[in-house]
Amino acid sequence: MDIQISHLAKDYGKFRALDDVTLSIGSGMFGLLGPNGAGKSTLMRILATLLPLTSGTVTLGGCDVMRQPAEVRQRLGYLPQEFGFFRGLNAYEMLDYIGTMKNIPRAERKRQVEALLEDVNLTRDAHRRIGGFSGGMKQRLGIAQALLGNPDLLIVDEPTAGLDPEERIRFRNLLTRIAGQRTVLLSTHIVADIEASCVGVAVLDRGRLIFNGTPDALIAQACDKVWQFECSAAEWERIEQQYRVISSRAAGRAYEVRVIADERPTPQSVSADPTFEDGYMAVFGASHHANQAVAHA
Amino acid sequence: MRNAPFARFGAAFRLELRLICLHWSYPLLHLLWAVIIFGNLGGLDLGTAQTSEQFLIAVVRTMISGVALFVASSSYARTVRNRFDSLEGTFPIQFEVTFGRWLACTLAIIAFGIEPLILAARSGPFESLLSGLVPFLIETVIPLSVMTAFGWLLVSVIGVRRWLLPLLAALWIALLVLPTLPGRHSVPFAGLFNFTGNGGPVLYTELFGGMPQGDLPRWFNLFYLGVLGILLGILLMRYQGRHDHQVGRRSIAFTLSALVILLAAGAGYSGTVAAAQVRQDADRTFYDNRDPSVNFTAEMSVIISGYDLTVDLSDVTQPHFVARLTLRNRGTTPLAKLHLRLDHDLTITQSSFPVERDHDFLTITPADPLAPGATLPIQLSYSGAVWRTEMFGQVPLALYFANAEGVSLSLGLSWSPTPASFKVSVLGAPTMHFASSLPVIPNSNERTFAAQSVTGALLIGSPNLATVESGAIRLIAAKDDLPAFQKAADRLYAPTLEQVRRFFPDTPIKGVMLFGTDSLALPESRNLTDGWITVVTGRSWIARIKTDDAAERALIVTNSLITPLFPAATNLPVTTAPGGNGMIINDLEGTQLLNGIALFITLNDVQHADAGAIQRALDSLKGVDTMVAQSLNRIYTNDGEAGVIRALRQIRLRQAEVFKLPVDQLDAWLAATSHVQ
Repeated sequence: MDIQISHLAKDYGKFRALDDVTLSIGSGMFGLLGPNGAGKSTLMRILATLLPLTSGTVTLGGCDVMRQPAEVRQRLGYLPQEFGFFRGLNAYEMLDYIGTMKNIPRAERKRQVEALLEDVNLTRDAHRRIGGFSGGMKQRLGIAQALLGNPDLLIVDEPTAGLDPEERIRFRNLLTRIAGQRTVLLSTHIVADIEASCVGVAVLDRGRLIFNGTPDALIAQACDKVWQFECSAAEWERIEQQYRVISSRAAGRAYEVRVIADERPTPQSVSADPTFEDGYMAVFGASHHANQAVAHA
Repeated sequence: MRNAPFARFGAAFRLELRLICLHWSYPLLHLLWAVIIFGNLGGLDLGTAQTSEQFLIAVVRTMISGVALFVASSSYARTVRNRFDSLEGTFPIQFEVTFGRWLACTLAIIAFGIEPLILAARSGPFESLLSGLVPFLIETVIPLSVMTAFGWLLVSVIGVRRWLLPLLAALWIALLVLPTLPGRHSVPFAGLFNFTGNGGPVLYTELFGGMPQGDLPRWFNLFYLGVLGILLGILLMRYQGRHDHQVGRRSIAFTLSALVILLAAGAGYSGTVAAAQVRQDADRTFYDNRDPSVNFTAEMSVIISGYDLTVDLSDVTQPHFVARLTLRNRGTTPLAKLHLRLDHDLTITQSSFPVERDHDFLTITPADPLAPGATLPIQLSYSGAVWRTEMFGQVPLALYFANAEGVSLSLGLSWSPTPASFKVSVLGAPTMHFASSLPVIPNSNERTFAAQSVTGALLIGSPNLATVESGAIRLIAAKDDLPAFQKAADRLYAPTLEQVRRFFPDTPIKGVMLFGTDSLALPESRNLTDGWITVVTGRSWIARIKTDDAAERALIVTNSLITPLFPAATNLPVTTAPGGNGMIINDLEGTQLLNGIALFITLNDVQHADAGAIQRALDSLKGVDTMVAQSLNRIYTNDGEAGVIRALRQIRLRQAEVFKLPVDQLDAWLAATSHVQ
């Protein structure tokens, strides 16, 4: 399912949460990156028909989210950042209820619910009260409900937040498997989640789209800009103010640092191969510099 | 899926009902409710099942409206509380899910009517329960639905807040306090905001159902249907605005239609109340401003010596009366004008003499002045819709009426003035059974009633009316009320009648006609009519009388049996202001004298004629009536029963004199008369 976003803006009173976002998303898994407050969740909620937009247009598979929300919802699966279920129901009952809400006929509903419980490894817990589920189990049940009805588009907002590393990897793999058949829009601020699974990525910063492309293109943003060197404790403060420090590690009395910079920061610096995270930071850093320049101007 | 909306509605309804009803608090609330209902009201005689249901409507509205607010707010907040709202918002659903959940919540609330219905069913009989079931359901379901819809809308507007529960509690208290605010009576629509009843005390009888309230319950219910429609309409529009980002035209039209219904019902209700108020004020103004020199009773040197009345109820909503009167000048001077009185709602259609009319007063001008002692036969035909209301708090209730559901014509209506021989024949209304304070004429199918020298007649008609003879007591009541009145007759009226006969051996008392109307009316007595004592009483009165509470029994039962034996008491100027509740004895001392006699007779029965025990019982009482009873007991101690009989005989013979005596002279007067043979 194609997602077309054109000049999208969303205001909360005087605050502009999204500003002139234009984006085109095709099939496969697409990542949406950005720091907290970048507007990711707002964009997700607009796509999920939960929020009205202020201006611009958004179409999902040709259906306008404002004019045809019912049609969009029929083809949509959504897993929000924060969600819950009726704690008194068990997993099967909850999915069965949601299946009814999604207009899935009774027989088909039963088949899908059982298959999805199997997919998310909850078959054994299907008849346990949801109130007793762990965070990971709830998250898996969340993805199961989103997949009910075989939606063309799956919107997943910060799905791995709060999960332990093992759960996170399992969940990421599950999403990758699902994405083979449909469009999956994954919003996160955990760069590794996107690097591992997405065919496309967009970066939002303060409501503006600052990058849209493939993960390789994002990595390419950091080519010849990633440097590694050692510095003393006395130099550390200057380095941190002057460059975007990606990582740092104590090495005896000195620090081994990895920074992003257009120029070689120190004569001892050596160029390093950029990673996905470096690309993200490069894009993000460029955006900040541009914003600061605009602010100074 | 064509049936998808119904499937979603059904699923949402079932789930919400399950989540509410299976929550621990719900059965607990039912348990508390059952304790309140059966603990506080289980021991009371609430009448038949039907009247119990009507009484319990107010209880349900009062108590469960609060529960409805809390449960509804909790129900609406469920998706937010469980953070399910962000999921639900992306499902391809419409308002049917919200509506299904609201309906489930409302049904869970309405289920709090089960306990009151069980209580009402205990009063029996089953037919009575069925008769009252529909009004009970309508008058509880609509207001409680309004409360749940209000709770839902409130939470949808303000969200789930920490101060929500105190706010709901404050709103509920405000709802209960609002109808009691000062000045509410001046606002004709104030009754609409009274959830504890249809705007005031509910008059609902087994005999007449809720009919004396007229159209008010209908307007009331329609008004709240309008309120419900508006609340649901706003809920729908808010849902659409949030969910579909636009409000549908049908939703707006639905809400506006509900608004129109609300306004029309509000106007109908207010108009009915205002009209009754205006009419009552006009009547009061007339009587207040009337020239006191033209005193109806004092001027009445003309009396009606014969009164033959035919009541044609072929069109029961417009009864037609034909009265053939014989007027007699009992004065000493010829009378050029003769005065009669007739309720101003009754229009004279034909008269054998010219009649001038001023409100309730008629002036007849005979061709020649009526000589002293002479009689003049006249014939009056009159008709009109009889619907005479009295304001009770915020609402008018009909005390006198004639319509398809029942007939209540009594002295207060001025349809049958002054002492006379009296005959009432009823035509038409084949489905109704009739009863009168006049003895029935044999073989008249209980449709002709007649007696000599009566002060007025009571005519009651209803499809539910039944008459049974029980010894010297003739019971006239609604069919389903008969067992209760039968019990009262056996327990209270029959033994008291024997006591009264014992102390008034010279008075031929054939028996008591006990009218059980279960109305607002206080026990009402009339003159002895052909040896019959007429007592009109309500079930609620007799139900609360304790056999061994002499003072109460004397006041309610004995007094009602002895008052008719004292024509001076019942013939005192009668306050028959429009809507007045029949006869009122104006003379305070006369009343207290009769109360004292009643108290003595009752104590004589309760204390098994033991003068010492009677005295000890009187020592704990106070008041003029106690003084009278003590005087009679002293006579009883000194001269025995014969002395008391002699004193009572003298009181009856010299009523006018003794009723005017100062209180401190009563004892001496009674002591003196006890020796008069």
